[in-house]
Amino acid sequence: MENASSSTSRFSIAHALALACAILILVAFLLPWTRAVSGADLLPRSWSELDNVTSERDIFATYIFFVPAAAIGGILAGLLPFFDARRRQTAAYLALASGLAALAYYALFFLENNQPTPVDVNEAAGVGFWLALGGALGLTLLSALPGSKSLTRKQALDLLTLVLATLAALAVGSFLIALLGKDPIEAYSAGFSGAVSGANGVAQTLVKATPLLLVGLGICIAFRGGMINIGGEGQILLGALAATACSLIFRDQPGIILAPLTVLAGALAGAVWGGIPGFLKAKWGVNEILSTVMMNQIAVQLMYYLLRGPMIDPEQVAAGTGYPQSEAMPRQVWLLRLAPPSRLNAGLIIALALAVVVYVFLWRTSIGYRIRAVGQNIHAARYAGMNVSTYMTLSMTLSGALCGLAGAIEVMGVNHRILEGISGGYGFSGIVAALFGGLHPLWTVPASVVFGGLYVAAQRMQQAVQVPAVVRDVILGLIVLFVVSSDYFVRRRSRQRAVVEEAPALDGSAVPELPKETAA
Amino acid sequence: MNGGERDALMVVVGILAQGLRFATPYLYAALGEMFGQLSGLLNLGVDGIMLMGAFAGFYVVYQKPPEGDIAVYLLLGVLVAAAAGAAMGLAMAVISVTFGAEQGISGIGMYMFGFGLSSLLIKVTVGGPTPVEYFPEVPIPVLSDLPLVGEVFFSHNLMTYGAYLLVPVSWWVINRTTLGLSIRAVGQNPEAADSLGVSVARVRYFTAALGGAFAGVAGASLSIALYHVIQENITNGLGFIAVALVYFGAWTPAGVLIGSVLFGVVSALGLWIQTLGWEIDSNLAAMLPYVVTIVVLVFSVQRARQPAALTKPFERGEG
Repeated sequence: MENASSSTSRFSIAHALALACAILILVAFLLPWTRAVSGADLLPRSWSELDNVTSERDIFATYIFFVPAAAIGGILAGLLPFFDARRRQTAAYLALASGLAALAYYALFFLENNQPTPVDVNEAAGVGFWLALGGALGLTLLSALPGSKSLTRKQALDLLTLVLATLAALAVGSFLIALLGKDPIEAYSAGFSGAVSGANGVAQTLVKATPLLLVGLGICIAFRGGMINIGGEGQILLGALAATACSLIFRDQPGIILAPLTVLAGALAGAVWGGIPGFLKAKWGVNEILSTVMMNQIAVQLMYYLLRGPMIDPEQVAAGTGYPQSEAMPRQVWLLRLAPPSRLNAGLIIALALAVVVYVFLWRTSIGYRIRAVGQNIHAARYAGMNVSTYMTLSMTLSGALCGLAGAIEVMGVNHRILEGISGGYGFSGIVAALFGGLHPLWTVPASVVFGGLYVAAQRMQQAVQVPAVVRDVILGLIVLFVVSSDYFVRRRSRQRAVVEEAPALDGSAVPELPKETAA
Repeated sequence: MNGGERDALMVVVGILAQGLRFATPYLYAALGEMFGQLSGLLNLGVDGIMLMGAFAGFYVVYQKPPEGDIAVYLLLGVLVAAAAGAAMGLAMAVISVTFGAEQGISGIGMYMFGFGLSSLLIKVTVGGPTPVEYFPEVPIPVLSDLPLVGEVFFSHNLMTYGAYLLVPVSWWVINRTTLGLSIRAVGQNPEAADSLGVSVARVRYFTAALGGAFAGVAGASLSIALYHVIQENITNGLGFIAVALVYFGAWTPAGVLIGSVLFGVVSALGLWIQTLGWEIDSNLAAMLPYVVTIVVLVFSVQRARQPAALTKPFERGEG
C-alpha cells in the first residue's frame, strides 16, 4: 500500500483528467459548428471543408493529421499504466518516450523528403502511428521483465495469455481458410497489411475501433457490476434510431443545440434499453443474459419496422426502390471528419475521453465503487447496507447508455443516416474487446484497436482472396473461448505459487479498494 | 355453421397445427439444455450449435445425387447434425467442466463461433438460397382423419413427432433411471454426489454432449423439416429462447413442453396475423415471441427453483 499523501494527490490528478476529458468531448463536438454560430470560418480550410475533399492535394494535407495523432497515441498509451497501478511510472515514461520517438520519425521524414508525395506521407503516417502505439505497449511489457517493478508478474502473465489465445485462434482460423482451399498466409498478410499499412489502414482500423471502444466501456461497467450485458446490439440500434429520429425531427435547430441533443437522445434510448433488463434482474431476478438477448431481437424488429415504415427515406419511396434506410441527417450534426477521405471522425476523440471518464467513475467515485462491490460480492454489499438493486439497475443503465452512444456516434460520424446492419456485430465484439482489456476501461482502448484492425483485416481478406468476412466472427468466438479457458492455467499457476509461498489465504485483490471519500 | 364461422375455425386450426410444428426446434433444444442445466451446466451457446446443426443437416441432404434415396439422406442429415452438435457440446464441456470457465461468457463465445462458422460454410458451399427435399408430412392413419383434431395433432412430419415423443422419454430418464438420479444429484449437490462415487465431470460431459446433440437436431429440424432452405442466422435467436424455456419450464419436461407449444403458437400467430385481419405490421408482430419471453421470464422466476449448482464449476477436494 502506498502512503496517504501520494494517494491523495493521484486522486485529484484523476479528477482533473476527467474534467479535461469532459472539455475535450465538448470541443470535439463543437469544433465543426463554430462556423455556423459565428458566421466566420474559424477553422483551417482543410478542416472545415473536410467532407468534400477529393483532390490529391487536399488528401495530402489531411494525412499530416497523423503526425499529432501518432503523438496522441503514444501519450495516451503512456498514460495507461500510469493510471492503473501504483508502481508503474517507469513504463509510463518509456511509453511517452515512444510517442516522442514517433514525432522524431516524422521530423526526420520531412527533413529528408523536401517534396514528399501523398503516397510517401501515407506510408510514413502509418509507420509513425504504430511506432507510437506499439512502441508504448511493447515498452510497457518490457518493463515487466524480472527486476522491474512496473508491471506485476500476474499482469504480465495475463498479457502473455491474451497473446497466446489470439495466436491460437488465428491458427485455427488459418486451418479453416486452408480447408476452404485458400492460402492462409496470403489471406492473413493481405488482411494484416490492409489493417495496418499507411494512414489509410490506421484510419479505417480506428473507425471500427470507435464503436468497439464505446461498447467495450459499457461492458466494463456492466460486467464490473456483475451484470452480463449481451444486449449491446439492441442498445446500439436504439441509440442509432433515436439519434437519427431526433436530428430529423428538430432539423431546423442550429448544430450547437441539435448535436448535443442528438447524442443525448441516443444515449438515453440505449440507457432505457439496457435499464429494462437491469431493472427486471434487480426487482425479480430475471436472468439478464436472456432478457438482453430478447431485447436485441425486439430492437432488430423495431428497426425493420421503422426503416420500412415511418422512418424510410422519402427519396427511396419517390424512386420506388424502397431500400430500407432513413433520410440523411441534417449536416449540422455530422461529426468532424479527422482524416478524409477516410471516415475517421471526432467520435474517436469522444470515445477516448470517455475511457478516462469511465475509469475515473469506476475507481475514483463512491458510486463506481459500490457498483464494483455489488459485482464482486452481492451478499457482502447487501450486508454492508448498499441498495443492491439500485446499483444493478444503474450499472445496466449506464452500460446501455454507452452502447446507445456508440450507435449515435456511428450514425453521426460514419453513415449520416441509419441503415440495416448498422450495429455491425459491435455489441458482441465489444464484449470481446472489454474482456481482452481485462474489463479495465483504459486497457480496453488498445484492445478495441486490435479488434478494429480485425474488422478491417476481415474485409480486406474478402476482397483479396475471397475468404468471406464472417471468418471474423469465428476468430472472435475462438478468442473468447480460449481466453476464458486460459483463466484456468493462470488460476492453477497462482494457486501453486500460493501453496509454495504460503501466501495469505485471501487474495487482496478480491476486495475492491475503498476510495478516500467513502472511507472518510 | 355459417361460412364465416367455418373460416375462423379453419384459421384457428391452422394456427394450432403450425404452432405445434413450430414448437419442434424449441422442444429439441430446450430438452437438451434442460439435461445440461439439471447437471449444473448452463450452455448459452445453444443458438450457435443449432446454427451448425442446421447447416450440417442441410448440407448432407444438399449432397444427395438425383438417384439417391431421400429417406437415407434425411436420416443421415439428422445424424450428422446430432454429431456436430455433440462435438460442440463436448467442447463446451471441456471449457466449462475441465477448465471451470465462466459459463455465461464461454457460451457467448460458442455462439459467436457457431454463428460465424455456419455463415462462412453457407457462403462457401451453398451460396444463395437453394431448396432441397425435406421431411414430408406423415399423417397418422385413422387419427389424422378425425375432424380438426386430426389436422392439429396427427398431420406432421417425423421430426415433429420425434420431438413430442422425447418429452415422456426425458421425463422417464430423469425421474426413473439411475442416470437421471445422478444428473440431478450432480446439479443439486456435486460434493455429495462425488462422495457417493458419482463422477461429476463424467455426468456433466455426458449431459453437455447430449444437449449439444439435441441442439444440433433442433437446428436440422429448422433446415430440413420446418423449412427446406438454409440461410445465415436461420435461428434468429431461437436458441436463446430455448434456454429461457428451461427456466420457464422449471426444469421439468412437462414445463418445457408447455413453454415450447406456447412459443410455437405465438410464432405461428405472428405469421397469421394478416390473415386474421388485424392491422398490425408484420415486423411488429415478429417481436411478439421475444416480448412474451421476457414477460414469461418475469413470472416463471417467481416459482422456479433452479438446480443449486447451476453455473458453478466443481473441483474435487476443495474446501
